[in-house]
Amino acid sequence: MNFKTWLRFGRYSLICLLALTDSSFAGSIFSRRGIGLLRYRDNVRAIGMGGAGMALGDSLSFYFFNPAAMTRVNLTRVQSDFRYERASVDLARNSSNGLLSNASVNSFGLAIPIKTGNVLALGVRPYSSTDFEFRQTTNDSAFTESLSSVGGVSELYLGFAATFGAWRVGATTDFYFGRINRIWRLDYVSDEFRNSEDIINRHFTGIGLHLGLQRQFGPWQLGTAAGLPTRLNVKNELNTLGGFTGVISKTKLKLPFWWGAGLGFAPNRRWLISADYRTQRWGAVKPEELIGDRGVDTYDLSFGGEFIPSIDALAGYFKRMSLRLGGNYQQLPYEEPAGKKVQQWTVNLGLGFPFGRGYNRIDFAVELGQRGSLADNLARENIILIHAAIIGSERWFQRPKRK
Amino acid sequence: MKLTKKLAVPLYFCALLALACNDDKTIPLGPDLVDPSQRGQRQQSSKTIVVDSTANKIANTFGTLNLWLGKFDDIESQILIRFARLNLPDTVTVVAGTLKLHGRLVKGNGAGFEATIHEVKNSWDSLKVSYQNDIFQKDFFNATPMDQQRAGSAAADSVTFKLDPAVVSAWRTKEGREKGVLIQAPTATFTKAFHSHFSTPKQPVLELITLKGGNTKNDTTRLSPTSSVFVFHRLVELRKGPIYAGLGEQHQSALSFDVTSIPPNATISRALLTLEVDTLNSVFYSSRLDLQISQPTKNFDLNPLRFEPFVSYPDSLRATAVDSVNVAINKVTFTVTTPVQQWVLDSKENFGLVLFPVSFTGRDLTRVTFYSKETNAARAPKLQIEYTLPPQ
Repeated sequence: MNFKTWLRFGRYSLICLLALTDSSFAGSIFSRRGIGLLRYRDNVRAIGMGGAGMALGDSLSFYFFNPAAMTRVNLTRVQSDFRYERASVDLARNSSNGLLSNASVNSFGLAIPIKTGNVLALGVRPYSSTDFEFRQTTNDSAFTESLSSVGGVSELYLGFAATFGAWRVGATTDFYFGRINRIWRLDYVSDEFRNSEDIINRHFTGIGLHLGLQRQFGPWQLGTAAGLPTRLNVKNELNTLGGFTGVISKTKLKLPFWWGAGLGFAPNRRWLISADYRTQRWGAVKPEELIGDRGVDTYDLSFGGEFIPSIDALAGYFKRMSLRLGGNYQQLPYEEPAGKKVQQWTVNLGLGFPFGRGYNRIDFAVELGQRGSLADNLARENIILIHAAIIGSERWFQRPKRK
Repeated sequence: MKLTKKLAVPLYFCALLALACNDDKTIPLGPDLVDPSQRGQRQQSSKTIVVDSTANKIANTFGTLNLWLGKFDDIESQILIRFARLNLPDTVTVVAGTLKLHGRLVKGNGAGFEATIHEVKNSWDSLKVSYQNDIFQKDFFNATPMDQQRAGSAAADSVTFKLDPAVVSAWRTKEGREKGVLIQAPTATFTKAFHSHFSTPKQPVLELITLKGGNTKNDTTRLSPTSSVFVFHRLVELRKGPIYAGLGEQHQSALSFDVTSIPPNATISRALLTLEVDTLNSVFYSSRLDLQISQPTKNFDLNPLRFEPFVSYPDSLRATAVDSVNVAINKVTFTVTTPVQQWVLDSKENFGLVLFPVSFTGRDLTRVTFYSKETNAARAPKLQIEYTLPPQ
């Protein structure tokens, strides 16, 4: 690499640092159980198509859940994405409502082609996240009680993908880490009382593995991926305002087996439609391995399409933009009281803005939908999620072809 | 239009910053949202006293405005006064001398009492003198009084003693000036306070009639004391059992509570120690008595039960709370949240609390009696603790 390239790398490293130091949040009351809401979405391009990306390959961005998709990457890629989430909460109780929102750098990834069709990738992304705050003041206004939680489990992944003839395969080692802080607080009005603040810090560590496979049959693309079950070590620490500090227990958290499959159809280079199905057996996890909560088998149905008005590099800018549309329906992983299950649906829109001679891109995706329901659940959340990713390119380890 | 690299990156981050602004609205906490175990618990606990004990030590009374003389509350008080070295040449003879004391307060009832004034034969330290160590010792004073006068029952009544000129003449020397006089009232049925040398302008006055050699006309000299204290001793031992607090006898009381039932991860919201005053057995010389509760850092010695916070263990006590009690108050309450939190956490060993009086205006013989578990279990000191337990 030359000096200029190092400078660029430093810039991307800064983005990486931002990604690593910024906690990922959920902004949902349904993130109060277990390890919070699971982050089943990856790749802003795929999110624009409802989250469907299991069977697709992309020369610019890469899709975490199916590492085989990385084989299409032909230049060193750095991608970082940002997420804004806003949930307008309607509670069944007393017709009360609330608003949760947050924004954070979501993930960072680096994919390095070793040679054509063989790609090494590493990065960090959220696995789950939690972020909520509930608050109430007693009738006599003597004190205010609040319960909040923030944090999540993240994955530091190191993957490799290779091409064997028509088959593309990939494997990724996932190093899980993270912390969830749950804070219970009493703020007294009177100075006679000392406030209470009890913080339970759960620290997660563990290693997992997931694998992927893709193959193209003419205009059809097929992909499948699976993640092996993993047990994370959980260290539970308690810190109180009264001065108590210590590890109160060490437990295990089970991440159950998951698998998914996807189908893509690209009749030409301008049109693409895709659909994914993914499931994970959270229902088989015992409550003691899920921080005391009951799991529900999850499924995630995604479908969508992409349209590029023109693939001509000399066409007008707007004609080279990608337009995406999709939808998603999923079952959340935790059982609510009385055995109720929570579903979420979204309608997704996406745009891709190429820049820098087409080697770079900014992807935007917007998800509009609903989580839970007032009829079946205790709350309904009208959600808006905005994702933005920036993808840059460098040529590393590859000699330019001499004429 | 062309989206260049230079434009794209700043645009991207500007968009992120705009989105990062949020305006959350709090969601009300309710049992439907959160399992009870995920919330902490508020608890209350009332602890009765495990150890209570009291001990006393006669205090030196230097620095007070009042010189108490007589008997009250089974305490007999006497007065010691001395003056500066008489600056009289040998050619000057002391012909006569009087000592006038101005009355200030009366405690108790009676028609008056006889008071005697005695020559003190030994020197005494105004900061250490006590009945046990000095007055009670043989030959401390001349048992034959120089004079006897009646002290009136009215608070403002003054009394004037005649002094032996020979005794006063001896105060010319350095040794003589450290002795002074002792005033007793062994038959008194009440006690009366006279102004001390701190209580200007009504401090005791020594008036001397002198005659210079060769002269026929007497001169009059007036002197104020350099030291005046009252010393006292208890004639009948205090009843064992109650918790006492008093300045004159420097009562100290130890109070211990068992808080082991409170888990170490509890946060103490408030801990209140309440002591109930046994008003019938309390004696107030002054309008109020300020009390302090402190936390010892060493285990107390039960025999005798005394802390020496200001002498032997200068850092053994930490001030935690101060309150005062007066004739109209029958309960005192101290906030002792910090020591209780430390006991619960085990960051400080539970040696209990020490109750002792503090003086801001000089010592007197005020003694406050509190109920103990021995005298009235229902009214014994109580420690009420409000605390929270963390979520599971």
